[in-house]
Amino acid sequence: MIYRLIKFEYPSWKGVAIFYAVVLGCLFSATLFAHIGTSVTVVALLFLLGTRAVGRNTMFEAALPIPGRDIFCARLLANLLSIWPLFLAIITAIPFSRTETKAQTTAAVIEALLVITFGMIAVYSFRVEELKAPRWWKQIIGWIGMIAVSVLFIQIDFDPIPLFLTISAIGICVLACMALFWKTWNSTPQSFQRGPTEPALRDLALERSVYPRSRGCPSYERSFLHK
Amino acid sequence: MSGILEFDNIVRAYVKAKPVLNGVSFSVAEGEVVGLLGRNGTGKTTLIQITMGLLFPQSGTVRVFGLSPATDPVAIKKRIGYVAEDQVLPGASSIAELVSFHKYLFPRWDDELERRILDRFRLSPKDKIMRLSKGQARAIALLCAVCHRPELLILDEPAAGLDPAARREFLEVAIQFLNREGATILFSSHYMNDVERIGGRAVILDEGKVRLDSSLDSLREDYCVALVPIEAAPNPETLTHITGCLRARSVSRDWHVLFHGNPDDVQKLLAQSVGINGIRCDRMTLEELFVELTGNEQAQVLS
Amino acid sequence: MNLLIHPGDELPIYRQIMRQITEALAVGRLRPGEKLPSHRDLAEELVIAPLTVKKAYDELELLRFIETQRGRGTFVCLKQPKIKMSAQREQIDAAARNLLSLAYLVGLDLDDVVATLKKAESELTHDVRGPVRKTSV
Repeated sequence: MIYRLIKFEYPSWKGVAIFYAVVLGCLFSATLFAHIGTSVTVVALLFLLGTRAVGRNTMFEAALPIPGRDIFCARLLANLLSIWPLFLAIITAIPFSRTETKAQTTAAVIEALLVITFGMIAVYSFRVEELKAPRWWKQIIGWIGMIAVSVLFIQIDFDPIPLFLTISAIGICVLACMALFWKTWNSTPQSFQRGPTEPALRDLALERSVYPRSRGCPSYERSFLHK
Repeated sequence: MSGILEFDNIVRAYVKAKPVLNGVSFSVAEGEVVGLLGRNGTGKTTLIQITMGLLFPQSGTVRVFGLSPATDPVAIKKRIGYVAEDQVLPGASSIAELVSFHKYLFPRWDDELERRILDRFRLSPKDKIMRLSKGQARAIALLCAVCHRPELLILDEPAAGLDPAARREFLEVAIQFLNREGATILFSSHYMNDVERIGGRAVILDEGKVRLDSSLDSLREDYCVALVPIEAAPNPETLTHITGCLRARSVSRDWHVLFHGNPDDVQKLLAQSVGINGIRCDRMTLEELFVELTGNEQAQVLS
Repeated sequence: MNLLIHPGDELPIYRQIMRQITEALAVGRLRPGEKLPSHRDLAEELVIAPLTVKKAYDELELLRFIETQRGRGTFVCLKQPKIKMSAQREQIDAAARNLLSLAYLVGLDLDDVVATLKKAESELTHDVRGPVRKTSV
């Protein structure tokens, strides 16, 4: 079921393949010749601003007889599939780049990847039973993620952090990701809700507004997103 | 009672102290086609989403096929077909991919009906969904909902935003489905003509409650509106106290008084209470009944 | 079958169907023994609920205008029932009064009204495949 759902999320293999080829190529060359920090931050920016990262579920799957946990896993994996290859491309390029602090940089990139992964799981873990995450929550995660990643990189480029600190940070991130995933997976209901069960204190009609918010990056959206 | 769908005293609020549904109760038996009517914001979509398990009521119970959407949502959804205006189909897929996904999810599939619908709308399975017009996309959503032979078809304003020809084509598909399966349909709509074409029973929601629940034929035959000049009854209470009166609404210089009863009897009742003979009493279409029951007062026209 | 229904009409849809079928019978467009479309087919043709058509057919069957033969379909009865005079007569009288008052309002006289009636008769019967069948009243 989960495999089928993921396959459904990426129906146009051609578009995805072309997109990745282009982006990976750019990243690879950027890593070889330019500041790694900049390229990663740009990737993070691109990604976090795209709706894919912070979109949760759509009405389409919610109305189908699919257990909520399957939907959650499939969506999360589909999201991860769109970010991990980008970072792995950077990591593979590092040994060939001009940086002196290769080990620290690699560790920092891994840490950044885990931070973003944690952020993506966190999108789902607030008010798990609801179909869509509140807009403000998505924005917070987006901005915190970006700031954290940028800070990480500016530090690496100009003042490398000792390796053992980075590695322990990686360990913490891995544990945090696993824990958050487990908690979220456990509390995911069989069927997602359109709104909170308890009535709000004031009118949150805006959350349920029919007006769509465009997010820019139209070509990116077309390859990955539902209309 | 073993109906397909049972609502018992559903209460649901989005904002504290302002319930959208405030004690809604009715049930739908197998084979019925029920139109859920009401002004915008009166909770039709809310009620439908409660049926699907996409929302929980704050109090009251709902039973679908005897099951509760809170505990068995997946089992219920396997037997339901659902079409809503805000249902976005995955744009980058083709129709064939969407159909194969649905075939995987649902045990039965009616290939013949699928072929008929595709032919009717002149679509090919290779077409990409994002290239379809609104009417065609809605038809595909309907295709996915009916071809797996659900026992209950739920349509949430399915014709919204469609042109009249597309609406008619949509109805045709729904009727073909009815013919094959004899299934139950619950739909909400603002298009009264469509409701009268396909509906058997109408449930009108207003201010959080069921104001009217009756078969469509009975609505047409057993309800009438009387035009009483305002001078004849300055206090609307004299009118609303008459047996069978549902509402007195001021429209310019008259009261439009809605009655349950046939026009001749109502005319006699009014002659007795208001003292005027031959008050005009007419039967109405569903649209007029809806407006009389739920419409706002119309202020007196300034001359 | 040339039936045209209007959802917004005064009469409920099933009554419109009943009236148009009985009119067709009265005028000869439908003949005794002729086969009617199944209620499913008629529902799809008119784009209305099958149950509505079934209701119309059931009512007509009760009045013995049509009959359902198991496994073969629905047919117009070979022997049409006699319509009760009194109920229809009242309606016809009322319609006649309405027609005359309307005509006098616009300045027509009785001869004009009779000419109009003759014209209506020829319009009703013009596409019939035979002489008008007069119901014995």
